[in-house]
Amino acid sequence: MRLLHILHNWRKRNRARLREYKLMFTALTRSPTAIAGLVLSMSFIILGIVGPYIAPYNPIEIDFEKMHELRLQPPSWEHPFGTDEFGRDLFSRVLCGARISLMVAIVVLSIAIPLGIVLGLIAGYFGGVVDEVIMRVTDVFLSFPGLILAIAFSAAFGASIWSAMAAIALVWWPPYVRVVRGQVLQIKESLFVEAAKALGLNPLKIMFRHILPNALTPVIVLATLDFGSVILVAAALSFIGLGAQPPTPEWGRLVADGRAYFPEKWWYVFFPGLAIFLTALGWNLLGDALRDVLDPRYRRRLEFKERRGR
Amino acid sequence: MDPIVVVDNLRKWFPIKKLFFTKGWVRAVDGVSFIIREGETFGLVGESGCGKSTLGRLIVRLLEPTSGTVYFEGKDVFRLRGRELKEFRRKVQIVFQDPYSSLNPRMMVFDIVAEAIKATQQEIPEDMEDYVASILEKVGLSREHLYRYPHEFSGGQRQRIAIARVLAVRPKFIVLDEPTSSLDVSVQAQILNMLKDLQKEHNFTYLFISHDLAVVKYMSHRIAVMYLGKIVEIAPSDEIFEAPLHPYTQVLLSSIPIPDPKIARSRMKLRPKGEPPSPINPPPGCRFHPRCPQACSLCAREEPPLIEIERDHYVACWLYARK
Repeated sequence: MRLLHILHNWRKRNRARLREYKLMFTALTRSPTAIAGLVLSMSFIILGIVGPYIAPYNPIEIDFEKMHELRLQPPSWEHPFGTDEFGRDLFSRVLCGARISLMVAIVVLSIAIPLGIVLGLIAGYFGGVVDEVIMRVTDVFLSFPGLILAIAFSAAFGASIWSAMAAIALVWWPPYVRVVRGQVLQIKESLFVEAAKALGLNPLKIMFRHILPNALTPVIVLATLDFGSVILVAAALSFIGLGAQPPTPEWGRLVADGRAYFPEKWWYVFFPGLAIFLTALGWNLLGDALRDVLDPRYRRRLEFKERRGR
Repeated sequence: MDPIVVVDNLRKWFPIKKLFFTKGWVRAVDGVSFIIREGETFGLVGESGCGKSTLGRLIVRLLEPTSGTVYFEGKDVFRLRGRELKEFRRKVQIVFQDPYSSLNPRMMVFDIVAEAIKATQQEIPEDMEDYVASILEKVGLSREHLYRYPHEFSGGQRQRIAIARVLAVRPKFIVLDEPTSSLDVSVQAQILNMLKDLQKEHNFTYLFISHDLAVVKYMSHRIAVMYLGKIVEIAPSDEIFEAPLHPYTQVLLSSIPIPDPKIARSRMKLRPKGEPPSPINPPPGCRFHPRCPQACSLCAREEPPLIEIERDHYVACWLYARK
């Protein structure tokens, strides 16, 4: 009974919030491209988690006895994506590669986004000299193409998947600073921020309770789009030999290794490439859809339509 | 009645920057002095752009002045630090004009009001939900509105929420910065009456800022008329309307529409010449002289001081200040 009471109270308090989430979900499932994005990106995450457990073969070990007869086999029922030059199952290797890409994206974004948010909040809120210093440093980073800078850092750290991650994270934060700062500049002029100041709230509370929640929408959209981009850049770094090293089944690495046998043994390049392509596409579609879903005006319109429909 | 707020020669000039150089100054508030007495409603009228909102923001210390100061309960507002500043924030609050921007769209009504309580009160009520609901009832909302977002309310209801947030602080002095000018007329009246009732109940002191003369007259005990960053006349409410002294006040009053066309036609029509000049380069001497129907050569040269003509009736005009 008591549990029921707590549940009832929780529902009462969060009724409005729940309705927003429901509307977001409705908005998301209304457009076919959004559904495609959602399906692709979610299956990527799921495969990233369970991939190594459901892989039919060991992705790394080489069976030296059968190596010659299994070598570079075309796709078949036994090996749906074919095999590589050491006779390893490419399907298993691509599946395990999902986890590596997922990890890279999560690590890079969980360094770059908080860093970008904090710097952007400080620059936008305090302005003046603080703003100038932060923004000039950001501009310096932005003035180099991200990939080139990542190549330089990665080469300096020594080639490994970890140094690739560090290098990408190091060049990935500046756009977030820009986006957050722009939002803060606009939101800090709002009267509700003035009201919070009149209440005597400290700057930290004003920044994190009043400004940040209202500045987050473009950050979420950007982060979703970047999920695909980070994976692409990581694959590119591995492709040119600066990221994951053999025998790691990283997708960019697989494409690079398969290049030597292209186009006769097309499957070696094709399936890892397809995985990269679908993942990047999925996150891009999802990001685009979120732009609409997270726009409250769009949700209001939808709510209106739903009420009329009933 | 004791003065609760003393405004002393307050100035706020905003720089106009071009690249790295200051090209000029917008003299939004330019040497303003007056007092507000405890328990009264002090009205502040003027055209839009005359600096009345800037003045309101200065008094609650949302802006720092260029020079001059404000005293609240005898203390220099802009020198307050730490605990004293907190105390000031607890005692002085502001209601803004636009209720669509003054409420955080990501916070529910309960959180908006509860935050104000937590930020300013020493004793936090045990049952916050009950307490917040009781404040909502005071402003004509109800318990069922607690867990809703601002976008679910109308303009008038939002302004009630903004007032609830101020009530939660239990202040002594409230700046009402055009609290009803973005609402339609029937809602305006409700909010104004509610503000009057709350004042009676809690003995609030109000600074009521508006461009609407009828509304200011209805609300205020005393009224100050502002023109281009300066106060030109201060008088008790009835006196301003029955015997306005400053030519600008006269012009302003004659612009009130009168419902009866016969009276309207018979009334002398006073119109100022041209548009109000820009506060960037205000005219020398009396600010109103280029548009004043009774200007003389002195008005263009020297600025008239604000002097007491009758008891409690101040005016800044050379017509009344013999030199």
